[in-house]
Amino acid sequence: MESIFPEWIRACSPSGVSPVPFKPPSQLPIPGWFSEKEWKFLAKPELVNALYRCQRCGICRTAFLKEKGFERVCPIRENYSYLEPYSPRGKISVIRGVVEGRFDLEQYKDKILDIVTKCTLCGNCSDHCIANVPFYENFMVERNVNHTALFEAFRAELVSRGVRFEPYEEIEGKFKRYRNPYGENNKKRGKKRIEGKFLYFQGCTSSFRTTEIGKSARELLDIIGIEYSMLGTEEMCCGSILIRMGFVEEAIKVMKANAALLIEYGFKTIITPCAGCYKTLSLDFPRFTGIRLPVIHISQLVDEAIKKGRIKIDRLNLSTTYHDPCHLGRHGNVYEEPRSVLKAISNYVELLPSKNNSICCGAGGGVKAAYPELAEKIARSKVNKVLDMGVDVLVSACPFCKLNLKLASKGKVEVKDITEIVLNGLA
Amino acid sequence: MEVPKEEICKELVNLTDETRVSNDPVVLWCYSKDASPLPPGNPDYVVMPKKEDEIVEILKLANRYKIPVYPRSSGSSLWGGCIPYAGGIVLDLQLMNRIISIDPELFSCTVEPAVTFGELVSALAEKGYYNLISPEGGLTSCVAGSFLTHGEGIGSGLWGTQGDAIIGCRVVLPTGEIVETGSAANPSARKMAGGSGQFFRYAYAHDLTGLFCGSEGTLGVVVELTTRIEKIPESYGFVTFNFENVKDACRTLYEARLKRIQANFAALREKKSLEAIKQGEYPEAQLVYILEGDEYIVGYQLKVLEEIAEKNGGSRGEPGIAEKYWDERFLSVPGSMFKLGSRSLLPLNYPLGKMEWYYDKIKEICDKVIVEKYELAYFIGGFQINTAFVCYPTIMFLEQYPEQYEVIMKCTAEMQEALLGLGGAPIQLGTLWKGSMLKTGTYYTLIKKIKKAIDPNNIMCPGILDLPGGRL
Repeated sequence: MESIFPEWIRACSPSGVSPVPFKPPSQLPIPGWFSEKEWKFLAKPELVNALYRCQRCGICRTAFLKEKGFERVCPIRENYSYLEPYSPRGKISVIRGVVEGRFDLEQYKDKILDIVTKCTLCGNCSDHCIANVPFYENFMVERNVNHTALFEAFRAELVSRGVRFEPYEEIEGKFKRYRNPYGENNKKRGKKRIEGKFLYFQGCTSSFRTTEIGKSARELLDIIGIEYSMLGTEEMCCGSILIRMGFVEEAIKVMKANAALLIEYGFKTIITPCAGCYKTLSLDFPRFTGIRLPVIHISQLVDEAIKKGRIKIDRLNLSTTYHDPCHLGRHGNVYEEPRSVLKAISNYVELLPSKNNSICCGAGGGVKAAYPELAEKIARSKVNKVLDMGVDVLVSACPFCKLNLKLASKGKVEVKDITEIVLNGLA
Repeated sequence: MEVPKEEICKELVNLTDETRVSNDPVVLWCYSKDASPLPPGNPDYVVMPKKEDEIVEILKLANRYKIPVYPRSSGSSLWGGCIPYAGGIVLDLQLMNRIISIDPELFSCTVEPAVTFGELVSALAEKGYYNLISPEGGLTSCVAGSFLTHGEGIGSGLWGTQGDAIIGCRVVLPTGEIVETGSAANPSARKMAGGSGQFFRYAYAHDLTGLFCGSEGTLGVVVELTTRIEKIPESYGFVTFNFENVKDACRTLYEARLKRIQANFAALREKKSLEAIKQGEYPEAQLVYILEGDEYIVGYQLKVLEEIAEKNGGSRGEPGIAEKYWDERFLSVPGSMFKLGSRSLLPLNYPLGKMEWYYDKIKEICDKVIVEKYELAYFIGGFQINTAFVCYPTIMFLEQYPEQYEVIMKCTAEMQEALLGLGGAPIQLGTLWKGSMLKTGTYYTLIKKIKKAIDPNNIMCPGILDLPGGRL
């Protein structure tokens, strides 16, 4: 016998790792675990793989980092409950239980919703998962179990089945009425200006809540000397929060409306100060609309501007550390530019664990909207680490992270966005 | 006495609090499986104790109503070690995760049951020490689980099994009494020796630590465990050797042990299994050595090892392999296996000096049973356990294909029978070995008598180790 392994193991993918073949359950010789006709989200092979390649080992909850050793990585498990369903592998078990009919979705919907909505979708679990699963979506390459994609898809499935979660519905309602999740008047977004091919996409949080970030970002663009356009009242939510909560149809509608504006005005590049918008516009937007435009986070632009001398800075006499927003770092792979800016401007100290291992602030994935106290508790544990370090300023590059971290800091440490600290340091 | 489940649940809440008890079917389902291929078995309740006192009361309650109890730490057993097939209470110990004391003067460290090896290794390293043995799944697996199942892993080349590394334990017996084994059994030890008082395993007649080692939770709930620690060595030596066949590699392993090479870890990897993980050019067999000791000793031993390997036809492998193995010791092996799917793992120990013969026989059985008869894939790995060798044929399958479940269970049972026929010493049995356990003779009778004496109502883990109870 030439090989002890069947064809599926020998047929290796480009990276040398065996892809798992996918057979729809209907093609199996005996009844499958679930019916893909009934569970639409499982028509995607990569999600079936994510569901069934989880080995329940539990490594998704932990990390062993070269610079720091052992670390627990799931913010929900560490701050809400060690009960199994609240861990990443537990949530996968719950989804398996639902699709396999181990318990009735309608009867137990409250518990199921409680479990699946208690996740920030930060993806730290996926980064440490060792069950290799191939993914074929356009923005994903072969990687581990993608909990974020699976949980988002399951939330969407619940929405499509009418299993609604009240706090999410409230936000959806506001969105339908105001085209933003805060239910704010879009006039507050500022004046529309069409001055060039760069679209400055401010985002809802920087427009309505952390307006200081929007203001600093615009000032910086002016100082750098970039001619940029703003949609003002015409700007709509990027769709991020809708996707995360499972309102995919609504998200596609708003993305298509945004896409129409991009085409109408002929924008070539998008600049945003928001990590959530960055992820959505660079990763989700092409997936749902087929349109891919270069998206730049303001920290990348500022870094380039400093290096090329387009802005002059004085070193500030203070120490800073940086919180990696999940959407910008782990999901968007932007790690170095914000650090480079902070190193140029201040005495920078790394907050461990960092980069792809950084622990979520707790605001994402709809957690802040549905469970504000839990979101604040998660942020508080992060703030406490920063307090132990004794640095002057905790810097982030995401308005939503800043909002949550600032609330949790209760004034014990200054929390700033990267745009604000750069403005402070201008020569 | 039939008591309504809601009543039991209320009592459990009274003993703990409502955030730590559940009888919700959605929650219970998450405790119905571990990392093994076995079918699910739902508990009736899950409770998360925070301290010993709570466990005492829970076990008393379970005894009163004759409710089965299944302790569970990380729940990552590959052999159905914590699947509650008799229903009852799952005692989720995840909240008992403190490192109680690190006592360099006693060469020991004491932990609660849900402390993982990843956690322990990090905490000890900060003080310049290491625990003797950490399994390759150590990022998630817990010290207590490893002790209770004769765990093996990194460090086993030098120190043997987890059982050899443990000095003593504190156990809540099924009836709610507490026993402490090891030197701390002497009430004065803690006061006089300081720390945990655990510095020596053998005290007062029988080796009671050994009684619990390998008992897989059937004799009580381990609430504290003391493991030996050593100073992190001055130097590590990393080397791999390639061989034209497995026999030469096995002979090298044995001869190196005869020469007392201080191999912290010595693993045998063979071509077909390596190919399955990643495409590439591999030797027929490869030995990965991690040595430890003073710099001079490691240097000398590397030289001796090289001579032995060369004599047996081996040559130095690509540099960096052993170092990478060490750096990624908690991820590489489980990760590489995961790439192939889910698995049924069958670890048995064999005599190191006879591995030339055993390895061939094991492979022959794997080819015949796993590949030819059941048309499944397998991965085979193994490493030195001081004077023995653990070889773990691992049957691979994909969980999304339900038809593979039936096949995998039949194949597993047949493999177990064949491997036991070779005379191997099986470890980590859980429920996976149900039906293949030693059923005749004084050995099994004695185990049952011990179980009956300690756990008269058979509340602890019924069905595990093929002891009575369980509905699988």
